[in-house]
Amino acid sequence: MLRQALHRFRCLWHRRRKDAELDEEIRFHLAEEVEERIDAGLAPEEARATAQRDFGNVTLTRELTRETWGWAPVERLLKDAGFAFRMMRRNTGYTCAVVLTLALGIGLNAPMYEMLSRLFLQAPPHIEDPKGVHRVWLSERDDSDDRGVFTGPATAWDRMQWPEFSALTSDNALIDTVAGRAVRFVPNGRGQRAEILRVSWVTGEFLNLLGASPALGRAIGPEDDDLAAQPVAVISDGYRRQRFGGAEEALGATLSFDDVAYVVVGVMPPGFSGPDPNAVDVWLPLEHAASASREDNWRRYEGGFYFTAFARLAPGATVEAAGAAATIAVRAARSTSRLSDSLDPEVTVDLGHILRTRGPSSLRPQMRLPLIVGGVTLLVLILATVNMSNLLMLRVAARRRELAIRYALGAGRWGVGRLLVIESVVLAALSGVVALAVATVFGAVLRRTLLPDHRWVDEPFGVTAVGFTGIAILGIGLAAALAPAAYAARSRRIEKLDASRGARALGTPVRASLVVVQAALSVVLLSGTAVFFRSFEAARQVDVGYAKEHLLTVTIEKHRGDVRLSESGFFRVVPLNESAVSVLETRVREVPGVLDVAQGTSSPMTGGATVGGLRIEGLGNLPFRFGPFVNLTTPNFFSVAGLDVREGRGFSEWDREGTEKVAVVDTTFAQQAWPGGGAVGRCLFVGSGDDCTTVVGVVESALNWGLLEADREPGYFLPISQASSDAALARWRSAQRTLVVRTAGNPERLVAPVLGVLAELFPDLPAHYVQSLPGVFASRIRTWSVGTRLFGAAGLLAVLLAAIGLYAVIAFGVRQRELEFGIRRALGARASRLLRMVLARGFSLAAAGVAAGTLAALWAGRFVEPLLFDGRTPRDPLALAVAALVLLTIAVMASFLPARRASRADPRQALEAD
Amino acid sequence: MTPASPRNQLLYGTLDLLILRTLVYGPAHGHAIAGHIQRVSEDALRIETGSLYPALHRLEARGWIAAKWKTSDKGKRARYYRLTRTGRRQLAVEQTRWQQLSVAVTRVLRPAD
Repeated sequence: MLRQALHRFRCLWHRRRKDAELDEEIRFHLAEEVEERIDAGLAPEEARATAQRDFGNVTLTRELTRETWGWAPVERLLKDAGFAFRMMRRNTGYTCAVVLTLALGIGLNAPMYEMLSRLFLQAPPHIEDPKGVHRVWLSERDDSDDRGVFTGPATAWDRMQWPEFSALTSDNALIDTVAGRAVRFVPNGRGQRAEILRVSWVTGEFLNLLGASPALGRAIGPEDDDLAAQPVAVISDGYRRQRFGGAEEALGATLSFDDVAYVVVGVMPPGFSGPDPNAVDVWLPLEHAASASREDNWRRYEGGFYFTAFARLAPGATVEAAGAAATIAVRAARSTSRLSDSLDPEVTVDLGHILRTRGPSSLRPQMRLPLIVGGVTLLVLILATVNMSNLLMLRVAARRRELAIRYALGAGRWGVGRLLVIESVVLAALSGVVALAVATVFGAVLRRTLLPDHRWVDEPFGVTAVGFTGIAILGIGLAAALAPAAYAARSRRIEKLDASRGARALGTPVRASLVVVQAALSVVLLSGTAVFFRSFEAARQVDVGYAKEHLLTVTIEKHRGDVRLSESGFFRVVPLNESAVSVLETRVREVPGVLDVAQGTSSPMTGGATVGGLRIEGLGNLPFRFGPFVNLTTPNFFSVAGLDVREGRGFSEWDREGTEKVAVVDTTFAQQAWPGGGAVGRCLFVGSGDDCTTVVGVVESALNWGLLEADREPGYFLPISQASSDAALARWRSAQRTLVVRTAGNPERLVAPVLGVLAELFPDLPAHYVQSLPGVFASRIRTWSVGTRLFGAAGLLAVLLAAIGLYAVIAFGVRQRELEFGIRRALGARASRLLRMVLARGFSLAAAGVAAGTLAALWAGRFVEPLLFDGRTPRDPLALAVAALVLLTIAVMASFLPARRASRADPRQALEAD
Repeated sequence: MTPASPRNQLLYGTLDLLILRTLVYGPAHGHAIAGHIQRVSEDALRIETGSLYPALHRLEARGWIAAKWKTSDKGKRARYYRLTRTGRRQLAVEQTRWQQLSVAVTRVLRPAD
């Protein structure tokens, strides 16, 4: 087989030489023949003549011999492909329509497929027996009523705290190994040179459990996870390349996190990212990293330190049995904790798939969105295929005469079919090339917008995507050719009978229903766009309380300029330097465009802090589910941040140490604490002291988390100048400080100059950040903005495809009925009547699509419902109406060209033609 | 495969067998092969050139024979064909098949006992 193929290939390659050789061979044969005849006694002239005669037709012999060389089919193929290219060049509009629809269909699908497969299907690379690694899930209820009884449905989390983790490891014969890790974004180095890295803090068994061996050096082992050991680090291959270049420089280098120096002892293999597809730069031993960042209480529930555990089972153990045993151990650990009241005692432990996306919890919105978008792009690919088939069909109809001539000249049914197949494959191949470009661009956009916080290990465009594209090209080329080829084969017979009458019925119901399907899908996508857009608009208009359009925040965290090991072995925190903060404030005020600057201990729209020991006069327990959250502020805070004072007053310069202690509460606090009203004048007891802190004012409640009314948490404010008297408040004041900067214009433009000031004043500041509140808000409503954009793009594409598809079908119908239209004109039908007739056909197809699409959209709503803002319904009549209107308009526009053609049908031409 | 040419007066497939058999005696060019068959069959079989060269090239494509340009006894360049190892095996197969066929045909032609 191989030899034959090689031989054929050689024949094709040396075709010219083979031809010459064949000629020579035949010439030799003739010469021998002539010589033989001369030897037999014939005269040379006669010998030559008889030899020629007996040889027969030289050309035919040559042709027959050539046939055996095996390149005849190839040559035919090249000829057909050449013809296909010429046809495409001549019909630029048609070619562009097909290539664009297909390229968009494939180009959107390839990266989508790649992304979904990494997120949901494949276990991350370099993990030994990934099926044997289980992510540990805790299912618990986090709602408790007044008496502390847990209610509501249980939610699964792949996070746990140290007491639960140690319960998993001890006393469980069914679990072989357990390891944990916490991932953090941590700055390495200081000041402007600091780079933010994705760092994984791992227990000593972690890398062993995954079975991943380093490409260079050694992994982190159990002996490294000990404060007595030298701090070591293992880095990813990507970070090695980015930071060190060669391998020699990497091993032995030091990295600094939270002022601890780690020596790099190993480099993981390329592509390794641990148990998640999200890239990690550095792995550090948990003991060192957590102690440096969390001080002494990270092992206790109070420390609030969560991480994820992974387990391998003992031989023969089942997931269910191991989970049940772990459940008992974790419940026991919880019941003996000091904080057991706030922990669900009926927690259950499950061992799941290594990928979080395949765990037991319902999909998080940011994971649900890629799935839905994936479904949408697949629909677009199907639409594109349907369309290509329709367009080819139209081409066949337009070339009826040409094909009939080909048949008449003796081309076989197979020959004409082959021509059509080759044409579609050539079209599909061209589309594939364009699709690769689309895929590269779209892949990058997709990764940036859909999961902006996800960092991918490899280059954005991988092998699978290219393979997907290739297979799609072949599949689509063949599929798209089948219908027209079958039609062409049938039209052969029909040409003989009656070209225009017989062909009319062919495949029309099928194609019409395909157009209806396209229109229906467009309605679904368009209404999806509208639904997302309405959610987006609603979310955009949420009043967060702050004057967010004009705010910039500069956060300075506790400054560890002078780190020493204290006697207990942990790090001591050095307070923020108040004079340095004042200098920073003064310098920021000087930046052009800054109107005013206030200070607070919490950063607006990024959460808040609680300080223990708050009591409210007359109330035994605090009436809040969460919080209340405290913010120590300067007097101008409310006016700068844009929080309106609703009752009483804000702070003034007169509220200082020694004067009456005052507080301001927000409306949420006031309503929950004193539902009857009259907050001003009430007493709060802050910290350990027994003296009254008088509530002097009520300000509007701000949204520091989330976007819903339910997300408004109670908050109260104290003058920063009155914080020194209480130890807890004083500690909090010196831990974190935020400058709230009111700007004249868009705060985004001031981020760079303010960063410059910060870097100049605090070149050593380990962690700092400057945020514009519009930016923070934009990331909060990203789900809806991305949803709107992606659905919008897909919807636009779908409408475009539907328009092309409708055009193809209507135009095809008009072509088929040209004779009929001509006769109608001859019999006196008005042009406008014919125009209306064809338009009505397009309209009715679109209307059927709208009806089907509306039903489909109502059904498909369940998939997007969890993604919509504040329980908005996906079954939105306005959205559906808009979608229907857009589609019907497009349908009429798409039918207009063929309708005009029909109305101008020339009776004479039609009659002469047949 | 190539359809049997109407000019081929031999039973389809027989020509291949004759060519392979002829080449057992050593390499030969097309003219010599045709001449040999004609001579050995005492002029009963005349090979049309319109069949001969397609057959030679087909056998070459299948790898049963190989070709090489050599100078003939008379000093002219000629294309010599020789039997390959697979060709030799194929010859055995074809020969057996031919014998079975001829036995069968003979049986049919023999009057019933």
